[in-house]
Amino acid sequence: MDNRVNQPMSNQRYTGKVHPPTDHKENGQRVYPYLPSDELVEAVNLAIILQRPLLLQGEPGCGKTKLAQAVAYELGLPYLCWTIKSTSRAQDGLYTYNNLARLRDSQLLALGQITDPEEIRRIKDPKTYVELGKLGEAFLSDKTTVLLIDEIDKADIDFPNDLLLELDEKRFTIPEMKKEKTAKHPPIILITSNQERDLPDAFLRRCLFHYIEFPNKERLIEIIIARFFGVTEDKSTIPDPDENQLIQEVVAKFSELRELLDKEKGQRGKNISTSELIDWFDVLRRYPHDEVLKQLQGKLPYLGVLLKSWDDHRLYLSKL
Amino acid sequence: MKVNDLPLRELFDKLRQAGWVLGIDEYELLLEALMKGFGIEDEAALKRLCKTLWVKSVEDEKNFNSYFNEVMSKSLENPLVTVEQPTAQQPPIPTAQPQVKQVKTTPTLPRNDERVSPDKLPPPEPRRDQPPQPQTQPSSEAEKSEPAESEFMPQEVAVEIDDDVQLLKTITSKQFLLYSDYLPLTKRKMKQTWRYLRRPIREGPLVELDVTATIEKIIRDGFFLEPVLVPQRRNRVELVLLLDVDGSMVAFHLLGDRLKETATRGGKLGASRVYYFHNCPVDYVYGKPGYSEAVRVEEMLRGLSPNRACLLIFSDAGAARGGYSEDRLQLTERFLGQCQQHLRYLVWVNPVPRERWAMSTAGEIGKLIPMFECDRLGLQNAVKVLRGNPVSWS
Repeated sequence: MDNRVNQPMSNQRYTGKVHPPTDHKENGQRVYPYLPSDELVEAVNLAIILQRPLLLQGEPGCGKTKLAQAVAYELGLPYLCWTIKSTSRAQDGLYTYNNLARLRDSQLLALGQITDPEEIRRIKDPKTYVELGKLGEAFLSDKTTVLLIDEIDKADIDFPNDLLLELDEKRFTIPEMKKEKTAKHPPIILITSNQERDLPDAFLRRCLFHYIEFPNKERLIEIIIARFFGVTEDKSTIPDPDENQLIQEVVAKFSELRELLDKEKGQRGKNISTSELIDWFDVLRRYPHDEVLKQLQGKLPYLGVLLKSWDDHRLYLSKL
Repeated sequence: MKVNDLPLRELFDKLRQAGWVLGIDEYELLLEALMKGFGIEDEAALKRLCKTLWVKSVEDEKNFNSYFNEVMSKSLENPLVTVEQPTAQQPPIPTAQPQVKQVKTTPTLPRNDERVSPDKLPPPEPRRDQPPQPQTQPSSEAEKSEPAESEFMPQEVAVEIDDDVQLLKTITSKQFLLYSDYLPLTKRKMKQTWRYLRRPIREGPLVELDVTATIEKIIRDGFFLEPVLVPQRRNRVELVLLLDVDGSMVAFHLLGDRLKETATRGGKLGASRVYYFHNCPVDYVYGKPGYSEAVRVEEMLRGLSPNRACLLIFSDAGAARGGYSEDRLQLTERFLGQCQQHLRYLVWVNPVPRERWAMSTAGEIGKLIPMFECDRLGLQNAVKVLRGNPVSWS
């Protein structure tokens, strides 16, 4: 993993081929292998080299969010995630100024409660009360960071436009400190959107765009194997043929169901996707394989993991 | 092919003409990426690169493919096109054989061989023999079908041959892209206009510190008692679209749908709702365009907040067919009166041009409520009215 550190950014390329070992954890969360398509790898590299944010769209559950972590792992960079909520404001991503704490401290100081000169110096420094947001943190970090801005379409209409200057010029001002901060190492920014609403043109203009296509059957099998059995150098990863048969069968049934929903619902609703397949397989593999294989021939077991609405259930049962 | 010879500029211009939001920055970005080694292996790589840099939505992707193919094929196959242009204009029947032979004599091009092989017609001969064989019993029928078949077969061959010609045709002749955009008010402009419809209101729990007010309070009191907190500012706008459907409005259904779509997707119009009616809402409005899910007008109004809700009525008000209907005017007047009692912000958008309003019911209705044309300025003004700014409309 030597290539993951201490290299100027321009030489770093994401390949999508370096995967974390099965027991790798970051902040208590397991980091799973991610298998990007070649186009996606290219888009990520473009974003790195051209220093533009990469906007990712795709069906829910097709792996938009997980990409950022995989990129951070392979390049050996710190990973930050800014999850957007309906109340998020662009400013909060940069910094918040804790006026309240400052007021409290100045009151204590005025009342003569604080005497420690070190403490007094701290209170008099306006920098003390600046609390950086994720974007601010990524800008001011000593190392290039991978920043994920997750579900940007959740925020208010003005949110993306409020970030234009910051994303464009990689700098922001803190009026409370009368200072302008410029990013030392421009972060690699990945943005995901669920297309709940269209983003403003001015914002789109500054982003690179990639639509993550749903993986085909072979890819799904690879994903399942990578997820549950890890990725090894030689491709013979599956422990035994019994396991292999189960994977093949589960993915086949999954694809069938997906096609059915696609045909019946079209673009109108959410279809099952990779994340559901992973959950489903996770349940099924805990049971004796021959039993599961038998069950898969009839009504699919643990449908609740796949179908999240009563309409979908009914649709499936009627086609059975 | 050298990078300099690629018609990238042409592609860029084409996309811009098609209304894409691309600036010179985006063009330079492409050059930068090319210089850094992206998209130079082959045409597919270049296409991928341009897509990543310039395409911004899934819908755009399809258009992009067609533009890219058009521009690229033109430049890569330029010599080919000039040679084969005459055949491309011929009717696509193999009777144009001399013409094809002429092409054959032209300088050796790989494509010619492909074109010539089906001309020799050896494959169709055995094929023509095959169909009659199973049909031996009803001989009369077989005979009937025989000429039909033989007539049909060469045509099938012709189709095969002409695939290339067809291909060239699409390359040489101007390609058409079907737009469904309404030009006085494109989708983009609609979206942009909706963005202005907002009503920021401080609401909810007291969480934000009002620094100025707190300092003023300290000055007033002489010491610090407690901070002054205010609620967060939120965009609270409720848009209600009332769309007139059927009858004279059939021609404007698409436009109405687009208003609805852009309003719900383009902006954060919190609780935007859509109801339908025909000619004039009388007692009921409908949740679906097919007059289902009926809702009483009072009920609809009761669900709206008087100070925030914005009602936009999209209807021709009788101007499409012209003529004056006292009944219609009275019903509309009653409905508007009902709304005005409940709501503060009401506006009417009329898809028929203003010149046609006079002498029809629309002219009279326009005196009761701000009415605007459905173009950019009209919608902008409508949004201004909904925000509570006075706009003169008559």
